[in-house]
Amino acid sequence: MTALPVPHLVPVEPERLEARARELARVDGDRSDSGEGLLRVVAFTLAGSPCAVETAIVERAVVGLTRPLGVPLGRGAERAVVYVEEVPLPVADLAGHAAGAVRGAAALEGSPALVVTTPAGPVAVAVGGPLDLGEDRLAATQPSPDGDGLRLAGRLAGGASLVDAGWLVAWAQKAVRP
Amino acid sequence: MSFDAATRARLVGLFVSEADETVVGLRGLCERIATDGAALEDFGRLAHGLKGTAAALGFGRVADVLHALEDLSLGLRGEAPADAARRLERVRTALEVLGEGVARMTASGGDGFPEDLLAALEPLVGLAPAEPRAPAAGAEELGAATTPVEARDLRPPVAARPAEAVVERISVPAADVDEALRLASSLARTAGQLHEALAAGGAGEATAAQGVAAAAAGLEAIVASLRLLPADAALSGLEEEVRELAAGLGKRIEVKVTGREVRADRRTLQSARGMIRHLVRNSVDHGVETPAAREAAGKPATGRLGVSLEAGEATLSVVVSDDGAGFDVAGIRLALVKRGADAARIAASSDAEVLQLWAHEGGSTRASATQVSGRGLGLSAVAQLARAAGGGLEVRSAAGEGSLVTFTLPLEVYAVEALTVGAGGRLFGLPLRAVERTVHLAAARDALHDGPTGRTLAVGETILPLVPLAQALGLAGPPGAGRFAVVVRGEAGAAAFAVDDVGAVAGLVPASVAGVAEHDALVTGIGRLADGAAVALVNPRALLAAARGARAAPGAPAPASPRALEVVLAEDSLATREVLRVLLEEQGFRVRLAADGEEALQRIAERLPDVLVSDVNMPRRDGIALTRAVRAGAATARLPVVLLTSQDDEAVRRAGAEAGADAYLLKSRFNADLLAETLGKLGVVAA
Repeated sequence: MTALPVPHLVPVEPERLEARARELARVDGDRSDSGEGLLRVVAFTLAGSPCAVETAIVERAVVGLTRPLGVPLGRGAERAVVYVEEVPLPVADLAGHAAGAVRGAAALEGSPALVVTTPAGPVAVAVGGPLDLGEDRLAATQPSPDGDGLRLAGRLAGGASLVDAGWLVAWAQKAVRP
Repeated sequence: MSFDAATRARLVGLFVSEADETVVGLRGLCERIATDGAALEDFGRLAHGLKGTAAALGFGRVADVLHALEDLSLGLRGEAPADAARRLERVRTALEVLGEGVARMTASGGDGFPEDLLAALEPLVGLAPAEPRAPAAGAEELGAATTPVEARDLRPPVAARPAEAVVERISVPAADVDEALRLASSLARTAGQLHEALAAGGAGEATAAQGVAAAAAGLEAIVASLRLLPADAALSGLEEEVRELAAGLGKRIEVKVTGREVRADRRTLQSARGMIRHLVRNSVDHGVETPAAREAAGKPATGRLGVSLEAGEATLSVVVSDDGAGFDVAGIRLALVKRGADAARIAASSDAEVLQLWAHEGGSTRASATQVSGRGLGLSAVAQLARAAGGGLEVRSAAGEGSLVTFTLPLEVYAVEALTVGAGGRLFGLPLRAVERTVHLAAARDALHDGPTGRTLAVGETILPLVPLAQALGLAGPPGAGRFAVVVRGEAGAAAFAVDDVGAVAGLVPASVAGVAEHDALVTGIGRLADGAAVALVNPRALLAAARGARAAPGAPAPASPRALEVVLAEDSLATREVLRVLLEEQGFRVRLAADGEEALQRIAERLPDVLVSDVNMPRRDGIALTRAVRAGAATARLPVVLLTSQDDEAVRRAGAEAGADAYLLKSRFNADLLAETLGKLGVVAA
């Protein structure tokens, strides 16, 4: 058995890459005119539809949940818990919620998730993949209906629905501590 | 009071951390004082807590400021709106300055509250500006890195740091760090050997891999233990403090401290430290008598005060006792009635019930505060802190003989040896101390018996109920193979649980998960095995209770003594709530309290109780709306709901029934037996 060689990365357009990196690293208030109004978002899907949420509420994006454990709460209820970075987190299944069928722990194996910080602590919010990080402009705002349904803040220029970040935090908290 | 430098540094670090959290808490309460009467009492409790810590560390002027701040805030009660607004603004400004001082102490690591900010604080809270004190060994208040500001410039120059900016520090034995370093070196070396063995094509792979695993496990264990500090962190200087306080009051007190060797996590010890000091100061001030009074009562002139700590599997238990006069129970009864408690009920309550009510309600029989223990709010402050942390407090007192206060706190970090078992396709850990034995069921066929109350297993001379673990835990899905039985024993008895597999005994450092795995829940924490598999650590007490519930047949008659049933009690009146709680607990119910419907929903979400008992008229969410919300939740739709009200009102009764309540009881006739009878009719029974 031999050791694998260390991969060597060769950027094709280093100047453009650096310029893009600098632009992404700049804080919102420091944007040039061309970057004004851009939202930094994590893109995902819900029931097959492209969606996004602002990165400000996302502590970490997880490509696939590993070995989620169904923890009994008594009287037949249970909640999935998954380890992310050596810390056990409760899981709230947003993808299941959007599809009308919340999944059990076993079915969450491999699901992408966003770790969202809530007042009750961090919660892994299971979403549909693929996950992507990007920037986009808000093309249209959307009235926010009350109720338990998914609340959107609007639609991005790229076509994705922008999930209301405040709603998502509150929903995640309520999902793990109703 | 003098400490060695290392001890003092550690204690000041704890003070700074506690002060930072307290200031954040006081700021929050300050914004609620105008609209929430309870916030004022909470404010007093919180300020009182920090005052004791400051005094204990020799920050006398800070303690004076906090004492005055407590008085300043209490002056808000009943004050005209315009005056109250001005007073509240002074309190807010004082908190800003206090927060700035704490932030500076944090940033500088200095052992002293900044002099310039003290000079600004004193007039703000109504104290005469003090002459700056010269720094004295161990009790400096002159910050070395302070910037002089005008004494009348009351606003701090910069905003106080938020609580989250405070870096948590721990002090650990050097030998433990050395051991961690040794293990880390060993891990690095054996990992290198493993790499070489793999590269060489297999020779020695297994040995090297075993070495890596052993070193990694050892390293994990030692690093986990570094989070556990000896209880000395909570007890340092206690004897000196008591001696000084006693001398100031003309008393002689001998202190006996046990359990210094107990190890617990820093946060729990930090909480315990403040609580112990509250109780000790109360004992010194109000409990232990003067030498003359003691001799007149036939006691030795020197009083005794004991503090002992004990760490259970997941709980720190602290007992503070004295051989003084005991609590003034008669005075407490009068004070409770004066506050609006039902006189007849208080008269009918035992001394123990009255003391427990007093401890949980808070208050004082003293008209004025003393510098040593304030208004006697210390006991209720400790009770509140213990309950807020998920622990509890118990008071015992005998007139003329002394008092004993026990409080418990759940440990934030603890290690436990657990037997891993498989059930319902999942892995669970059963704390080894609760596991009596395991039985291979195929080899014990003769010991199995199917009777009218379900399957039993004869273990030695005892016949135990045999319940599938998956069923007791409420897991969905088909029953497993049930190849083994694990006998679990707790304070309330024993039961055998059928499991699919029995694994190894593993050392776990469980972590709590909000809303899922918490102290006192069915699963108390989540741990991980060496292979990365997650394990849910089961609470044996809750498991045994669940097993009893799993075996109870629907519609079975209610037992005479409904022990271990858990009630969420929603009632906005503090006095009524506490009286009902005492009544229920006396009959063996476990009670969790909620002050309104919203809080009740939170309690239910934290852990599903056996029954909800709720007042009808409550702020935020009344009993009818609460019942509707419970019925609307998938997990709570079948939770029995019993409504309580003061009057028999047909309209309320109808509204309750329409909302989905199961029963309707009058408060005037309410008692635990009636509740048990009602629950029995609803099919809610306990063994």
